[in-house]
Amino acid sequence: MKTIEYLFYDAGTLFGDYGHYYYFDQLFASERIIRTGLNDTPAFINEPVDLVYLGAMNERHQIMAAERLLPFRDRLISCIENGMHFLATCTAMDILGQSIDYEGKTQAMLGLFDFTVKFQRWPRINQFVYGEWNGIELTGHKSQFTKTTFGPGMDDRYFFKTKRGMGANPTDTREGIHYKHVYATQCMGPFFVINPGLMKHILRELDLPDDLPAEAAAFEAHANRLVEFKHPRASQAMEVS
Amino acid sequence: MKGIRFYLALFAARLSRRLLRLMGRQGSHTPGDIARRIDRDFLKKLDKPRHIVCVTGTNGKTTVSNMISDSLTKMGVSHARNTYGSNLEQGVIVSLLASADWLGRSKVEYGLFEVDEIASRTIFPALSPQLIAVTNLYRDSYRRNAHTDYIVSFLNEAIPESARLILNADDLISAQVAPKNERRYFSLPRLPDEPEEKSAIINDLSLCPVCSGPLQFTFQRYHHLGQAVCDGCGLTNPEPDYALTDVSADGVAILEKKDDLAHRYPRIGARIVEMYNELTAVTILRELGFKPDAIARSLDGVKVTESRYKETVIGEKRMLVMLGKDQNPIATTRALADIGQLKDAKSAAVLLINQVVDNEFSSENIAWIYDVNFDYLNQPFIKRIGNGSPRYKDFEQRMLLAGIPPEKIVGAVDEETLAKSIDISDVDVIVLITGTKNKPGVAKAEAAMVERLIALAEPTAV
Repeated sequence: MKTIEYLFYDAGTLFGDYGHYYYFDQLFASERIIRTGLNDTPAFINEPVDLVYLGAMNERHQIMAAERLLPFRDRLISCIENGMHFLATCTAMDILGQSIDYEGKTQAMLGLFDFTVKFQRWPRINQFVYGEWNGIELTGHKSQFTKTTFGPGMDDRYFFKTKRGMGANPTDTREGIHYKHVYATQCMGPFFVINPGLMKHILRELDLPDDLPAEAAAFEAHANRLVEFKHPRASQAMEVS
Repeated sequence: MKGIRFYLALFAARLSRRLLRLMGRQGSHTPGDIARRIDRDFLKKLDKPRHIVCVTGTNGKTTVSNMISDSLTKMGVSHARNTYGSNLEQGVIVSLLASADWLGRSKVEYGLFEVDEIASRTIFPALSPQLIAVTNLYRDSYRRNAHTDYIVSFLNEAIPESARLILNADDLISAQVAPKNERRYFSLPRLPDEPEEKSAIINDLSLCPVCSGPLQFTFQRYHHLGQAVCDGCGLTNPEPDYALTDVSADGVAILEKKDDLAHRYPRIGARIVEMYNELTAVTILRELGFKPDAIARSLDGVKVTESRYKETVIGEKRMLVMLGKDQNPIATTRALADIGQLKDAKSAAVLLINQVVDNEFSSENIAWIYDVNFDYLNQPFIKRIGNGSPRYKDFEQRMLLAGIPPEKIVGAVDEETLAKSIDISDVDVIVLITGTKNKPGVAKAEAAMVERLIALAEPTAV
């Protein structure tokens, strides 16, 4: 039996990421699921965990999450180096970087990966994203205040290159983190739910059956999205509002 | 000194409004835009009514403003009002111009403005309202409003220190806004036999808004609305100054803390959201100094606006049009909760047509549908659930994850096609969940459904 941890599940609830929890509840129904609140001690510190999921949270909770995790940074590095899956979406990914600059006030993050994030409350950037990783076509949406700057350490640790939509920032098409079994993206919404091919890949990495809930509909929806995202006339109409 | 730019802007705005109206358009936005382009401080410089009231918040601001406006009209109180839902600075400018003379001097006593939460950052400083009501704060459009902390940060910066606030004591997010300001709270305590709705997916307050400690709900009405206490810092709901304490078929009683007297008012709606809206409106009117009897008389006969809720009976079938708002998971969930509790429906079909707001060749962010309780529709009496939009397959996936049987799920590429194709032969209630942004699409769908219902109601020609 695998152990799945929803890390800071009570804070990581923004931008459709509730969808990850009930999707994973169905996907991992036969596995052991641990729900760790923002005020609790993470389970992966004291016991083997196979997959940690961290969902999108607001800026106040980003800072608290980083503070909660910093004392266990070495343990987290060790878990990742030893193959633990770590999935993070949207603003949760920012916590894994070096720092976040909140309109002039810099806050240290976990420093696991070589990138920094600059937060600016206005304007908000809205994009759709299309890219490809490992032969799997990916779709996503972005609505964010942040622009990310990748350092040299991200040269071989970014997730995928976008073919449509911005990556780390409007001039960098590199998106997210992929290192060992870390899959992180700044795309919002239930990224792993709406990218069934990727989810199947992760399940196979976990040595679990790769059947998905509502699989046929998930692939049809994904195919429809691909057609739209690839369409040459599809514009980033909500690029900046 | 207003300066030449101001008068130039005033003239251009007036002229454009007149031209737009001659062209048959409302002109509720563009003239204000023109004025702002010529003079950025136009709203600040423009003469205002003596009393300014603003209503903001995620849900209910239009309805509350409509109720107050209806009441003021019946009481014979002249007022400016951004009636057509243009709740940005441009709309406020237009409504002030509409109630001013050619030199921009206000001819009305009151200004009543519905204000978009983000637009408050420029509107509130320019208007300096004496009274600001915040109906509630929930997550809204992800593309624009991000999350509640974000909205609170804007309001805290925008609200002038001199403004008295009217806040929802049952909502610990909006209740924390601008903590130094003078404030009055309203509350709708738990009604007799009112169930708790702990099943709602969204809870924007699972953690304390002050210390992020665990928050324990002693009564959870829905989402984060209710009574809660923080284990960490002890934060809890404030005592209400106005509490809706009694609901009967023909009226509601609102108890005022200052003299411990309850006053009765006509009941405007049956749903909880409508009670909140009425309570907010009455609280505002009372804080403006109007007498309970006069308010009660003025609210007699006031109804919920048809764009928010409309019921039509054609033949043996009933069509309900409910506002779910566009890409708004809370408003949509509330609509689905109401549908799930339709006690008098034997069988129903639900059409979701509230999500197409993007341009034709842009893609819609579908994250929000994962925050909506589609499981509320997973009931035997609901025979069909349809979505009419280019993203209908995403809705299908989401509904399947909510446990909706696949045979009940219907999809179509647009609203009208859905309305024309969904099987309604075996249902007695059809519900259209609409938004406000895609009015032509919604109108076509509604017209198509009405046409079908009329055809079904007419006896077959021999």
